[in-house]
Amino acid sequence: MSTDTQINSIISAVRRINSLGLVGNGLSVRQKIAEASCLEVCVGASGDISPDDIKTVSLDRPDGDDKELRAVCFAIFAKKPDAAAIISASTPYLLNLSRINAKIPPILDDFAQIIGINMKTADGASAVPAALKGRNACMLKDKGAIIVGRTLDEAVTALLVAEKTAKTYALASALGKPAPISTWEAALMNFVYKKKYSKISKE
Amino acid sequence: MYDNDTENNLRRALTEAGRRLVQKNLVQGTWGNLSARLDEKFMLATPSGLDYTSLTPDDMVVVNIETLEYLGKLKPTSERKLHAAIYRDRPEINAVIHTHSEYCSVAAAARVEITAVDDDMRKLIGETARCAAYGLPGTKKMTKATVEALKDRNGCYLANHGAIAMGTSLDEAFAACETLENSTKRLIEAKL
Repeated sequence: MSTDTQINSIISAVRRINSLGLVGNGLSVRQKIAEASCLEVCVGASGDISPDDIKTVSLDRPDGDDKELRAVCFAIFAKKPDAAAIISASTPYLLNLSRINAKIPPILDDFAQIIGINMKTADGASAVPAALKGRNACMLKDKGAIIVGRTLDEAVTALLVAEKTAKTYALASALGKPAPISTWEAALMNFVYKKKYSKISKE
Repeated sequence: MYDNDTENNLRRALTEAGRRLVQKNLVQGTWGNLSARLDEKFMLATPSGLDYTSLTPDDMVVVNIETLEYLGKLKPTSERKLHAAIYRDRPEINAVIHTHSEYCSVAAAARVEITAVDDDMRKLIGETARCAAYGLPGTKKMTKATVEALKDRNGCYLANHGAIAMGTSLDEAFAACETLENSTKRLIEAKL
């Protein structure tokens, strides 16, 4: 896929996130384009984006603004060979749950399928890779969520599912205690989704 | 036996209903599914894994309600077993819609039975909306629990999964879906 095509796919992804009302206080999107580089864009709360906002950055030089988070994203690309896209987002419910160090249990099937057996809060950027082990998403204390996808499209869907589940988790408490799926059933669904049903588009 | 006009009209109606589900935020991505009865032996169902916005009438799949065998190259929804079981159990039902809508998902995650909060819900769903016991998606356990939870009802929650609603027509099933979501939302907001 050419870099121009990837830039267009990032713009489409950000517009989709914006149309779903999931930009929150702002977000960053990173898409791997080679072994040592990725495309990166930081979007404000308005959700506005243009091709000029998207920069090519080297994965071995995590400098500039938000150096710590950038270093973590680069480490994820290095440690998870199938990670092609990372979204860092501060959507309302994920941000609030990250503030209380929440761990979201598998209370919805689609969450178990696309995210994993639960979603932990990492207490600092350096704890993110461990919190992501075996999962496609985690929260970062006081910051919101870090979402990983094998494609950018999968990462956007995972963000949608993570925020929906965070809201469900919060609201279900008003009706009674949320009843999670068992860990083994959640793990089984995640396995089946990854191996059988996910259709990775050639981006 | 259904005729070509009936089949073509239902193909168009299902395609349109799928788009409306996305517009009303009752489903996201490729999740959820719809079907309509063609006759006592066959139903028309949405295909597996395709985005509603890209679906065409030709993508809908004819499925045998008894054997679950299907015609054509596209695979029908993985929940075809559930749709077929409902048509077998409820001869008066002609359309079934399964959603992952926001507030029904909350009730499904809490695994609660909700009492009708308004006349629309009483008319289109019943006195209460039950929550079917949990079963992995696409399994016999889930199908059996759902058919049970739908006794004397036209809608229910599926534990940790979403909701299902049905009607004597596709329009009625769609209205039941919207009503179940809106009534559940009203009840949750009242409890906050």
